[in-house]
Amino acid sequence: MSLDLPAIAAPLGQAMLAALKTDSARLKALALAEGEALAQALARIAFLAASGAVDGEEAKVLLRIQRNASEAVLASLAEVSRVSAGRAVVAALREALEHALGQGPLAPLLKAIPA
Amino acid sequence: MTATFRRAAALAAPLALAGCLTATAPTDPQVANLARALQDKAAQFHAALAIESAPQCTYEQNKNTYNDLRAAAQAIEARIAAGNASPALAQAGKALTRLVGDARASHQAASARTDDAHGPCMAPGAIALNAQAFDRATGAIAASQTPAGDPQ
Repeated sequence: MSLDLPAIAAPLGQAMLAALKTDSARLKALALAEGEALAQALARIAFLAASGAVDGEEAKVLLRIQRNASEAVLASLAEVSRVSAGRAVVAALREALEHALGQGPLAPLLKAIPA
Repeated sequence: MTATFRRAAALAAPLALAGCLTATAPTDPQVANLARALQDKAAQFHAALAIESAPQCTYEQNKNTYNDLRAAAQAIEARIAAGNASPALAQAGKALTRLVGDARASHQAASARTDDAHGPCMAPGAIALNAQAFDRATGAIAASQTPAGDPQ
């Protein structure tokens, strides 16, 4: 399963930025970097699921782990509120659903993410 | 001129205040130390797990390490709660504790499934993903509590 990672990473980072509503250049850079890290992780989970290395249950847990990691990263930034951090991660995951990952094995898991 | 100055001052005051608050936002080196310790422990654990074979790779053989990781994450949460940290940082601590619980669950799920190429071991790709998630989360918390200019 081949994914155009840069094409996925950029929209995820932009979705995070839009949810964070920030003008800070530092925060923008950090959000884009976290968007890229999340996109890479989602692509790997999709690959593992498609190849049978993990089953649906494990893929679901791996997705939660990445969501928690991104939330911890964004909430650690001094300029980000608790609510914004959670919203930004959900926005990025929903963006992933809109792109190539939405057609793969992660689609049902991404669709099930609560707002 | 006076009115212009007042308008400028009114616009600048919140910015100056925000800048001041950012510059003097309290940091807790103990939180940073605890986060780095957990970061190191998780990295060592996942590096070792990646080269283990059955039965050493199974969840049962490693559940005590997850207990240790959970205790370390809860210690970070407790330290954050005891200090003057923002609600956002407290949220980061909670997310880290959830991450540990989910990492445990992923290992349990992998060990319960033995009909794949890795048997009761986690797939190497899944181990790498979990290692990276720990590294990102603990690294961000540690960085947030490291005073500006500190080489750590």
